[in-house]
Amino acid sequence: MNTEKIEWHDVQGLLLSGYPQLPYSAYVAWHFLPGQRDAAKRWLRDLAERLMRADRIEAEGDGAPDLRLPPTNLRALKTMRDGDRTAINLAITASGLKELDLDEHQLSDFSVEFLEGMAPKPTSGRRMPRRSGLLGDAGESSPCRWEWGGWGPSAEVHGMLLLYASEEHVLQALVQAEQRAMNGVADVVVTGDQGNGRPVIVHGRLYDDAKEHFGFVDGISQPIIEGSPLAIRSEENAKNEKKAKSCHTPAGSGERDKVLSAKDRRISLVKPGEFVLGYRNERRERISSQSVKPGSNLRDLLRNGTYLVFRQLEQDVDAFEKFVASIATRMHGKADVEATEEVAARLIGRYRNGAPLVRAGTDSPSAPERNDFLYAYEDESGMACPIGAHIRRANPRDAIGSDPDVALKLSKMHRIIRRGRPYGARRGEQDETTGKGSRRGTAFIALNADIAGQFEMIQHSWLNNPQFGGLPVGTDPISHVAHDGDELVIQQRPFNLHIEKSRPFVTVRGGAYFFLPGINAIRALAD
Amino acid sequence: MNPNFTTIITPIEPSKVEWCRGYLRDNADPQFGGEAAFLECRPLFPFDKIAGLHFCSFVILDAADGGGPCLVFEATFDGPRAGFLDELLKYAPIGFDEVYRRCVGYPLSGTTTPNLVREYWERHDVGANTFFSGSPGRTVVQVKGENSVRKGIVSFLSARFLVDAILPGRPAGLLDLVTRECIRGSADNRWAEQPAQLPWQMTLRTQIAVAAGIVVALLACALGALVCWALGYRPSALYAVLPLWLETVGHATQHLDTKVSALPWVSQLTEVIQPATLTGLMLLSVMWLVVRAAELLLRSASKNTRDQHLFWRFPLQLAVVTRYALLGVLIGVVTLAVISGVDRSPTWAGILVDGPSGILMSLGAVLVVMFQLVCIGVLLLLGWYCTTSLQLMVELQPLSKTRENLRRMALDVIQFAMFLLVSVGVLLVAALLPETVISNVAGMARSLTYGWLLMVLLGWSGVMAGYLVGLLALCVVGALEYRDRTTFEHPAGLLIRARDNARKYAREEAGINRYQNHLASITCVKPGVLRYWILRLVLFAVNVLAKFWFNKGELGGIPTILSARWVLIDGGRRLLFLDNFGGAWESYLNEFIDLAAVKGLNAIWTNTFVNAAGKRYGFPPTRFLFWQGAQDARPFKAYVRQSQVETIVWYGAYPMLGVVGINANTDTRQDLFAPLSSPAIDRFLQRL
Repeated sequence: MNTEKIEWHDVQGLLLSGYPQLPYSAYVAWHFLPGQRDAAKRWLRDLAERLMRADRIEAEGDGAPDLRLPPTNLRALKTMRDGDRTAINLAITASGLKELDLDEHQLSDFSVEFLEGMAPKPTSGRRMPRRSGLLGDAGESSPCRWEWGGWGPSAEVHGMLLLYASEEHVLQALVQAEQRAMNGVADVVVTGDQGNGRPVIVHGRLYDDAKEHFGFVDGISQPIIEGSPLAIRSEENAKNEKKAKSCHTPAGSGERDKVLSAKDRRISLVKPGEFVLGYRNERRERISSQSVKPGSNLRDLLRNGTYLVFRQLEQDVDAFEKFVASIATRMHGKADVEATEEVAARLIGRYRNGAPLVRAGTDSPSAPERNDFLYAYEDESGMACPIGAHIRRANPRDAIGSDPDVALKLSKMHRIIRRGRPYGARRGEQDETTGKGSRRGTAFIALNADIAGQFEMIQHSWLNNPQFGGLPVGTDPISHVAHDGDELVIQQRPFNLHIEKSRPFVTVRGGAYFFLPGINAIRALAD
Repeated sequence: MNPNFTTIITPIEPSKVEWCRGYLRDNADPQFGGEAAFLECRPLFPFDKIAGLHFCSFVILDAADGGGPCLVFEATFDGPRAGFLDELLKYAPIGFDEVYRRCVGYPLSGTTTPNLVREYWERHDVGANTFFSGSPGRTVVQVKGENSVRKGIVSFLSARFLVDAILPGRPAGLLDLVTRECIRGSADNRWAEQPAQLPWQMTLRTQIAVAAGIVVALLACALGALVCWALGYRPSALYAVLPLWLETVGHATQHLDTKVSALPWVSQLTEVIQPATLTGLMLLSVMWLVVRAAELLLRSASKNTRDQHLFWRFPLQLAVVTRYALLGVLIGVVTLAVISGVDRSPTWAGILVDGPSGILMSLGAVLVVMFQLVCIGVLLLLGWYCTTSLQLMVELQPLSKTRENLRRMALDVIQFAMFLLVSVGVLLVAALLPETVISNVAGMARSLTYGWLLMVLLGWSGVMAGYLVGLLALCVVGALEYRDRTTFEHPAGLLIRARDNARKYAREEAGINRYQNHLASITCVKPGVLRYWILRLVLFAVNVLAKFWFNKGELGGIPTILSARWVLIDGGRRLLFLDNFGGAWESYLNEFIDLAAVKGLNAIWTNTFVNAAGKRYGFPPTRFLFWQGAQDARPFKAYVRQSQVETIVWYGAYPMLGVVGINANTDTRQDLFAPLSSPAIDRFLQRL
């Protein structure tokens, strides 16, 4: 199998890592100030050098990273001491690119959905715009109610700074420093509330238990890019293991060095072109610039970039817990911990600790965060993991279609890398900074090379599709969509349980489609 | 067969085109009624009053290539066309009159003379070259009714579950309760007690396929005979020559025979089977094994549809055909061996013992042989079981490619051995029959078998000849494709127009997840007689397949098409495609690209091009008609987008249902009163 070599030194670090060692983060949405194009380009040029890159090249010189400067590649980040770690990534919207003086030809290289944006304004009052319909952004989640990025009065978003730090005070310092750096060039977007708008700085926080607000371990199932360090390492490990099966290395050598089983690799390895532009994807195509011909001295802005979907999803944890308790009473006649945990697991497809409901046919049944399971042979009817459960809808693996092998291949064309983090205080905790304990949710971030074929496709054809997998009704249990008379179907004997889902537990509060350019592309933009 | 369809294309006066668009948009397009599960029709166009109307739409085609602009009204409905058109005139006389008044040739008296209008419409009805329906035979009333039956059953069971009423423990009891309380006991649902009448094309699907297979085989034989005749062999002469050939093979392998006959088990067999046939048989078996192995290797080389092109598929298909031909020859030769064995030694030479006490002894010998055979049979059965179910039951996961191939091979060998075993058994039993019967039967059987062998030979050569012709035809297509690469622009150039084409999203500006969608596309047929006839042929083939094979809800693996039609208009210069589908455009096109349907899609649209900005853009280049083409996903989508025209008005009678759901509802209703096994009852309950 010949995998393409990826120019990791030109790719932003977020693509390869969610920065688990930097649990504090802030997502700063900004817009350019008018008439400052030259200053803006200068700012971008400087910023490009500070960005975290995905390469593994050791720091030059004597090998010890320079502690005075922030690290700019992942390997350096890992070798740094605690305390002084930060990471910066930059994403730009279509309107941001327009501000940077891109001509029509260059713009048309980007995908239509990116150029249109996540919430294009309606053309006529009569109909909901196509994209909002596609994403299910209606009712409470309609862009007309969004705090930012929607149809409201808040300024158009031109870009986003994704700032990560190891400690809270480090993050605060970083946010202030970056705000200073963009002073006079760009401003933080302010929410649309008339008069008392707040700056759009979403504080993401990765907790030690990796749980999001509904209490589930998040981000377990991630596609692994062929040609990424993890994929290469696991390939080598597999080879070594074959050579010397007897001297098995003891488990617990760190999460980073985990060995992927053959089944893991079969499920999770995805061609790089699904996540990095300019490389071959699962359809064996390359998405690259049409306007820049190979050999010209113009930079292909798409190369080594990817699209970033950001959505601020507010979660109503109390309502969700109440819902779970009510189903538990219905199914088990009681709402004690055991019953509610069981019900919650049936809605999501995993227990709160991450253990999947599908237990059959796996290599490592003991590990809770197992991911090496499939559906077609193990649980075709959904008796273990309901067909409409969140993880099964979001990633149906080999379950859609008559041939599991083909289905698994097809599903790899619709994967996303998730880099989201919870924001706001956890239920029962008071947020020290704002004093508000009630507003919490997920700062959802998805990385993909084709928004329409990946993020949007998952949203409309899987999560919010009432006919998903042959089901008669229903949408995802924790999606932001709920139709009138919406039902969840939980497969069981003697007959399936139909539960009314009267309203969603998640509301979209803002969001935008961004482009996460390669480092050289940013430099080219700043030229 | 229901549903029926009509495609009325009438020329519009060029100056009135914009007016018509505006009028239809404002007065005819049903509203998506917020959260409601139906479309709210406008007062002038009350489509919902027409009980038998499944879908209908209005599209306006702009003037092109000398043809003026025209108005397209398509409808899918139940019952005869005249009745449907009369209903249209009855319920929406003013609306239709306003629109068609702008069309050329419309009767001046308008809808006050409905017969004239109907006649006008009928004159302009172009029907469809190819029509597909996702749920054939279902009427609108039935679709809606079956959905409400399912809903009724679900709410009944849920309510019972909620109040903790005692439910029957066994699924059969539950089904009984449902039929008693929900169907027989409910005046609304009582009708569902009668099973639905499905069209004969659906119920006789397998038989039709078998019949088609036989016809194809006979045609192949005829073609083979023709080829043989052309080569100088008359079929009758061949028939006479066949035994001689077999004999020659036998003689040629005589030195092998002596060695084979020396083997312990075989020596017993050669008493009843001619050694010559035995060796021939073994040779054939080896050939068969080789071909089968090659076939399995070719088949498992790659499952990715992107790897399947001509150079892999042709050898594979040839291997399959050859394998079956060899199997046919094997069957013939074994039968011959059995016949000659029976004919030659009716007295169990070698096994039976002469003498007065012979009868008992021979009976014992027969029993011993029979016992041996049964033992081998049991062993083979065990092997068969292992290769089919046991393995899968234990592992519950797919095998690796090599192991799967080995398993299939083993299965084949076992089945083959079983066949041999049965023949030997037949031989032994037949030996007990009286001599006169045997010689009569043997003579007849022998000539029949030679006939069979002849058929197999002719069929095989016919298929080979057919493939040769096909290959030549594909080469011609390949030459056309090569020429087109320079004549037409590559559709990647259309990617830049993507944003201009975004206005064609118009129809989709609604709650996409919840409603069905409509797509209208118009493309120009590439010039040349050859292209036109290829397209006609492909459309005809797809139409036949859609009617007789793809009538279970899927068209080439795509389960989301509710109703689609392809129409050649302007005397075959343009291809109009009108399609009602479920889900969103993007995932719908992905299905087209990634599933088996891509071949049909390529074969149709590779004959077309679109005009944009003064240039002619071809369909993404195909290879030999069927391969690649649309698999070039991004240019393909850009091409489709460019070819699309706005659907100005669209109505669907059950806009929230999908094909899978509609067909599952019918299954549910059919199962209600059918005799079911308990797994089937379980499936019935799971489907709810």
